[in-house]
Amino acid sequence: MKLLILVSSLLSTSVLASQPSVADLSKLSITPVEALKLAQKNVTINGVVYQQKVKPSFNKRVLSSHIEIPSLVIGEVVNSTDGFTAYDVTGEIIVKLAGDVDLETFSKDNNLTIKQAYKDFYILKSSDKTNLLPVVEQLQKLANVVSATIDLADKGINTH
Amino acid sequence: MAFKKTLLATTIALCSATAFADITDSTFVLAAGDPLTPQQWHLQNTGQTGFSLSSGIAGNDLDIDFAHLMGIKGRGVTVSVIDTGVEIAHPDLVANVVPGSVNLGDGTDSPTDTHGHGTSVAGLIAATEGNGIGGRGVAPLANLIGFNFLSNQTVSAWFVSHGLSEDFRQLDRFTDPRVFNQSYGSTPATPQKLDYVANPFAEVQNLVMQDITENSHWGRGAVYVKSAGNSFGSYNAYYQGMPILVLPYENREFFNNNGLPFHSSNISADNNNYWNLVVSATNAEGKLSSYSSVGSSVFLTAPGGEFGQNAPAMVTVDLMGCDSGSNVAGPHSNALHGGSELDPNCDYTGTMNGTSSAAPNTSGAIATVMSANHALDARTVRHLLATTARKTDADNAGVALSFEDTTGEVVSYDAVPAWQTNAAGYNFHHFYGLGAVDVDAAVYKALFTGISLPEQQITPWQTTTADVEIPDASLVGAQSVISNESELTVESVQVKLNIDHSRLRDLSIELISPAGTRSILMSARTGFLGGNEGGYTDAVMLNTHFYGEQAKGDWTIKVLDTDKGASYTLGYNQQVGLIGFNSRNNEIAGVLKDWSIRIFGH
Repeated sequence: MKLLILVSSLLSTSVLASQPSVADLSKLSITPVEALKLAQKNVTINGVVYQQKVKPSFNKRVLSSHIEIPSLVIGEVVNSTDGFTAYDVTGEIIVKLAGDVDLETFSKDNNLTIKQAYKDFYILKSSDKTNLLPVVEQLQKLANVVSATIDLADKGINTH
Repeated sequence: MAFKKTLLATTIALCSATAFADITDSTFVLAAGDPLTPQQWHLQNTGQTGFSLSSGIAGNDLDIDFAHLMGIKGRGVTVSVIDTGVEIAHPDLVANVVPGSVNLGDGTDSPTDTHGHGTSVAGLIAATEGNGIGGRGVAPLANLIGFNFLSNQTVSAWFVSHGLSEDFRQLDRFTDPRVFNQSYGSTPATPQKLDYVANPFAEVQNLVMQDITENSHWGRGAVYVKSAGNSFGSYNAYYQGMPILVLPYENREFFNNNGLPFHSSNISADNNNYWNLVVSATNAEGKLSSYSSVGSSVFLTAPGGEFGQNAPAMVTVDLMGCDSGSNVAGPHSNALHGGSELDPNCDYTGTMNGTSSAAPNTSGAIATVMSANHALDARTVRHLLATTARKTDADNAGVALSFEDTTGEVVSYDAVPAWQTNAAGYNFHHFYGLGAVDVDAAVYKALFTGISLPEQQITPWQTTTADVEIPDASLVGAQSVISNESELTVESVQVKLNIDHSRLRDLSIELISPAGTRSILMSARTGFLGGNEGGYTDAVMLNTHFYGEQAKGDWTIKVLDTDKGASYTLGYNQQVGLIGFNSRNNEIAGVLKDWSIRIFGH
């Protein structure tokens, strides 16, 4: 709960009217950042490695104690490997085309909806907890698809 | 009667050949009809308190009195509020709300605002005038639409809220936005790489914004206004998913950054995007608001105020009722709050602030200028605001940074210069861009001068390899030159950098134009927590300070290391405590590897 309050106080106001005082800070010791490695695992999204919270081992995606299928679903949070940026997985996929592609059929087959389009770009959205990683892999294999990338919304975007 | 006399005086003055300075420098009384307007110092600063404990200094405002006297108040121009939503039923907004708002969560036309931020922003732009309640907006006759984008941050929601309608039609109706207000943003802890392959959203954002800026409204276009940020002294970030407050630490002093900005408006991709008009914030004394982010991407500055407690903030609309928004029941050091006599239902606030306020004040100003002459294209409106911006905080001395260089000698570096004048005669400052918005002066030019800028050109990126070492803690720095052949008049310049360095907070980056104008692209002691791929990798920076200069000739970049490891960057989290970043000096000297430049001009 305290963390929730801190998140709220740090990130939901336009300008902080108050922040920890110098006196409060002076009572604290400084922990080197190297000592703060949290338990996370890697997941590759759009060709870039991110970090994801380790899930409980009873997760359905775990086929054995050694093999886990990478998974990424709407609503998850991932971090950049340097730890400095956190992202929400919005469930949307940005598809860039170089010609005609039957995205309607593809979307129907994969439980996606076409949300928007602009020039060569189409935005598809997963409405459920579909694993987005294999969906994007399939899209990338279609002829005339230049790229298909999973949308990651920077959690740091807020009121100014 | 007093109003008629002033109107007559104005009309007579208009007939005079020397009317410009007289009219725009004069102060005309704002029309009555809104009980809180006398405390809205950003509209007309008479030295009032804005319900806070201290007063401002008269004259430090948007200068709107001539425009309002002439009835030029934004009529026929729609402003889009892309924010936490807008309480469109608010009695001081409802008359100006037009169709087009979208709730990006449920698809309805009611952009629910449970936070209040977007509603206050909307009030600054276009709260209704003369209705006997509250205050008024900068453009009180402008139209408003709103989007609750901040609670629905998807690509498709970005498209819809930033002008790409779901039915793919052209933006060409009076109720379609010509101004997009974005009082939001991020404070990245590392430089951002421009990479359209890995990040096609950045590519499509750029395409959409360019398209709507240039082609909407039958080619007259639109303006995207963007807040610079509120991170002058510290900023919010995440570390491993955990929220932290990032702050400077030097000479065993918390929050000590030697007077230099700790975050820059030139880091986030939104704020170094040419298609955004970025604004910093000033307070009621005409000085930089204590929190305002700054940087060379700032185009203009506008009122944002302080916190409304010890010093004035904005007086604007709040969510209705004493149980929601900023103004709630109970004691508060802002005299408007808590169910006061002037606002018993807590429908207004006196504590709205931030570059979140500077942006809508600028959006309202733009709507006002557009409404003075609807034929003007968006770029010309930007130009009018640039040419009429005034020096604020004229005596600001900038920041001289003293540091011990590698030989042990204490040296002084002009880290943030005082106001300068570029070769085209434009004043500029790292804090204020080209200066403070002056609505009356811009409106006057819109009314009475024929301005048409030649077609805009954007040069391709021109790149050079440098591979120059950056000496540690030295004024010598690394230098590299690009000779530009394009014969353009500069509107903005973008630079893309590749630098290896393990402590970016040590670096100051300067750009010097062919005319010899020196501008700081990134000030020393900017509080990065790390680099991207070992330093700056394809990091873009925008510079507005060479406005009007000639682009042809040698552009010089200079990178200096100003610290041999005396300063830290700290992260604070209530549960973890203090986290130390950048605690060791770079063991090897940095390298300016290569850089690129492109010119936006005509």
